[in-house]
Amino acid sequence: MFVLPTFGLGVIASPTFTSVFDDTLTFPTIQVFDTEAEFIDQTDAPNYTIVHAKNTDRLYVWHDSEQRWYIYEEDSSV
Amino acid sequence: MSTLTTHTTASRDAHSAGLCKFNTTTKAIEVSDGTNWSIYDYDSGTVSPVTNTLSAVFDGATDKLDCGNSSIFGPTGGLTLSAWVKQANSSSTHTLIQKQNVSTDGYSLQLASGSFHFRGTMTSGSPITNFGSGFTSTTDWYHLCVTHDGSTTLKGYVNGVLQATYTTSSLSTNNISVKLGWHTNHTPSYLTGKLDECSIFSSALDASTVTQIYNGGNPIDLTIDQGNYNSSSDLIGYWRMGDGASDTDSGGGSPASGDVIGTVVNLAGGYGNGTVTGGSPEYLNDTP
Repeated sequence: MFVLPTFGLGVIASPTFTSVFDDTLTFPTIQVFDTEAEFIDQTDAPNYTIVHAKNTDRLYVWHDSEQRWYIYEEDSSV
Repeated sequence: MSTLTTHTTASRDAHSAGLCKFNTTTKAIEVSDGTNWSIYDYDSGTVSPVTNTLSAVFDGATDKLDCGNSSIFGPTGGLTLSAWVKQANSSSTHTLIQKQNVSTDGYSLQLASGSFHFRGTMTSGSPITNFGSGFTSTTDWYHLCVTHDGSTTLKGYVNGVLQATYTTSSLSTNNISVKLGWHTNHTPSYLTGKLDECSIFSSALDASTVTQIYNGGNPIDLTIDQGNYNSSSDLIGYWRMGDGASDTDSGGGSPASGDVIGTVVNLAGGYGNGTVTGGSPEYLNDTP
């Protein structure tokens, strides 16, 4: 079960100088973003970082060597 | 940091209830219940999108971009047309990319009253190939893509999904210039709406490549091979509508939203830059 973490606004802001990815979280608690746009163009995530976007209900896994996010669609919700 | 550890299909870890792994062979997320692995296949992949801040908006009446008549734009061994469009209405015919002289030569990519059309090279007797209907949104961007293998196979994709496959005649060339956002041969039609990231390839891209270009709705840099996209060497036309490094407004300056378009550079080579030959199409801060 994934638990929605809380995080400060500063975590998802200022992508130019500060990584948007929260290095205080350890699996299986994953970082939840409000929108895919907040991280989709970031390339500084550690390999195999897993995150969730609330506006798409997708999971994303970053594959650093391929420089791409793998996307997992939600199949259902309860 | 919430990162997954990994294993491969050939060397999966021993079971442990709740163990969650990323399979580097299949890219699946795998979760053990202690006995079996539940496998969550990835549905798509997205490479880092290209920075995209501007598109081109056409008035549906007089706005024209012309990219000239380079012979390079008439490949016979294969062809792919790709463009993003946000139509302002779903009741008229919007031409996105066109290089057509008579009804059965060249190519024309259109969204016509919500139907995805290709005009040009095809079986005799029909000037239009209809890949499907129902594309009527005026608030969403559509990615439209047509591929022709140079022989007889024509395919159409919307948002990375194959809509239909048709048997056609081989590709035929002409001496007509490539036009973006308008079409004046036989049935004139002008785009009313926005156009972005137009491209032409000298090969038929396969389905996985088209899906990668769609990239979950986030355009990628087509000059760089990445992810499942490995066709940059076949790129013969690539117009980014204000986001090309040397694109200009009508005054020769850097493009900004609201500026009338000057030159839209073909990033695939030193030919075929788009210039305004009618009306006053503008750059706009509205992009896929």
